[in-house]
Formats: sequence, C-alpha cells, structure tokens
Amino acid sequence: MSLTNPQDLLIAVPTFPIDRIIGTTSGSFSVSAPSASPGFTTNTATFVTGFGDTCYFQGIFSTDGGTTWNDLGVYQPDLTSPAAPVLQTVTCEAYMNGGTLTLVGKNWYDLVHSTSSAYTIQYKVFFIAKNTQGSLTPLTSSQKIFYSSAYNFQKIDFVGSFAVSTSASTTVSHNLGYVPKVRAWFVPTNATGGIEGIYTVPAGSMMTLDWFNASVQVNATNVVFSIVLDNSSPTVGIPGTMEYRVYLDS
Amino acid sequence: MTVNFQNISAASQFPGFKNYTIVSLTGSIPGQTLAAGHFAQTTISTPLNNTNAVSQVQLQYSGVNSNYFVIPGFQQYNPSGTYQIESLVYYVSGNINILTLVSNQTAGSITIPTITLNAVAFLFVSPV
Repeated sequence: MSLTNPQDLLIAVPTFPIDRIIGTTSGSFSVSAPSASPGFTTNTATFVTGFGDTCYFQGIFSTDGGTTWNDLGVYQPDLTSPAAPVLQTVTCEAYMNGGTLTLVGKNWYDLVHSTSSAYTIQYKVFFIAKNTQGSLTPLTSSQKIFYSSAYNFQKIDFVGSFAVSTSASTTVSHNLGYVPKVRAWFVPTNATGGIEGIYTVPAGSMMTLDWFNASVQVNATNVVFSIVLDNSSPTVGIPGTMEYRVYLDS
Repeated sequence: MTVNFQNISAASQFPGFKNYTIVSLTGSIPGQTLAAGHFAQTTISTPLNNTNAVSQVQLQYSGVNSNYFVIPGFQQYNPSGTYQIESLVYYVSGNINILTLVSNQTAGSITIPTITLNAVAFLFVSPV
C-alpha cells in the first residue's frame, strides 16, 4: 500500500507486533569443581523482577571471563580426545517461577580425562512479555532510546499455546511457504528435573526447551512440537503447556 | 508506571529482537557401517561473532528428515530404533560450531545412511 499523503501521518503503528523486551539483568556466580562421585555440582543465582508473574526470557552466558558467550543451555564440548568426545561440560540454564528468575549453573566431572574445574559464570538475560502478560511495571533501563524504526525488528506472525500431549507430537500450521523462525517455552504441570535430573524446577515455571529432550521441527507449512521428555519419563512425555511464537521473515 | 501488555503490540519503550545477521553451514556424515558401541561424528563451522547476541539455529538432517530442527543448544533425535543423532551448537573463538554424532543404539553392526547437514544460524542483538 503506498502512502498518498504522508502529511496526514504523525506516526505509523507497526502492522505486525514485535517481541516486547520488558527488562534485562546481568551478573555472575560461581559453580564449584565436581568430584568423580556424584559427578556434578550445581549452584544458582536469582533475580526478582518485581513483575509478580512469569514472562518469557532469553539469555547468554560466559565461563571464560566474557571472551566467549553462548546461549543459555549450551554445552561447549571437549574434543581433545576425538575418540571420546566429552559432551557434558559446564552450562548455565534458567527458569522463571512467579516473578523470580533463577539461573542454574551445572558443572560435570570429566570422566574421560579425570578432571574438573570450578567456573565463574557470567550471564545476561532479558525478559520478554509473554502472550498472556497482563499489567506489570517494566524494569527501568539506562538507555535513552530503545526502539527505533531504523532497526529491523523481528515481526511476529502469530502466537499460541497448547496442552502438550504425552504421547504424540503436536502440529501447528503456519502456511508461510518458507521455514520461519520459532521460539517456544514450556510450563511443566509438575516439578521436573529436566532431562539431566540433577536440579528440580518447581511446577508451573516458565522454562526453555534446552532443559528437556524435546524438538521443534519446522518446514514450509507446519511447526511440529514433539512430546517433552525429562529424566523421570525418558520415553513417555510429561504434561505441561507449550507457548510459542512464529515469526515472519524480514 | 504499570503497563497492561494485553493492549500493547509494540511501543517505543519496549524493543523486540533486532535482526542482525544470518549464516549458512553445510556438511555431511557419510553412509557407513557402525559396529556396536561405535559412532560417527562431524563438526561444521563458520566464522560468526556472537558477541552480545542471542542466536537461533535451524538444522536439517537431510537424508533422514526434511524438516529443520530449532536447536536449543542440544538436540537428540531418534529417526529409527537403531541409531541416534545428537547435535550440539556452540560458539568459540569467533566461530559457530555444530557437532553432530550418529551413534549405534544396538548390540550389533548397523548401516546408517548419508546424512547431509544443512544449517542456518540467525543472530539477534542483545539489549544488554
């Protein structure tokens, strides 16, 4: 649609909604070196948002003083022994319970090389208004300008949620004709230890899928959400709610 | 100031994810015979500086599945009862790396097909 008289426009409201980042936090905490038994250590850090409710989040972390950053839930493997790659090293995951963000550092003993190390985990997390977010007071920011039309923001095509089946995958049609980007968060009905089972997250928490054995498969027509598996149920899915967003290419 | 987010789809105070950059990677694990307890692996990598960015990676296991998996750091996929595919996505030294392993899940030898890895990585500027 062309603009025939721009002088009539004071401001143009975006046609497609964007994710609304309602706050950020950063910090650090340590996780001690594990021994061979039980083979891991964990530690946590918390941040109270003041929202009184959960929201979505994404974040990054570093274990080398800020030189290397990875998304929450990532393990950087140790490939120094190619015949025996070490896949579980150290990571930082997170969840929200009520208005509190909890970061969980997980540090695994290296059985291949019989070694372990302590780590200082630095993190940066930002909070995103969820699909059903109501009224809250966003966190203040020191930045003077957050939103500018000069930036190409991801545009949301549609959002949704569903009760996750414990026995079959769930297909959501998007019919965009291309493979779109998708974000998803999971709210478990019961307390869960995730797929690793070394830290228990309370029921009703907002979690990212890196905690579980679950998949989101996307093609040019559909998004297919698998069942969600944790350590208590390695072959049968656990109940909960999947909340998701499908984005337009831009 | 309290804001009701049911009434706001976009506002100057609340940014979204800024599209930043996109890279594509490709590689493959050749079809082969795996003995019991054995695995095949490959790492595909390309320069990608993710400083102050969050990412999303879509990975296709062409040859066994035409869909793209949205990888939350680690993905485990069982296309059959005989082998398992695991992929880890991680950044180090200014590169994005995707390690993929195909492991025999049986007590005997199996033959796996050629698996072509097609990946797309998207970076979004972090506001922090």
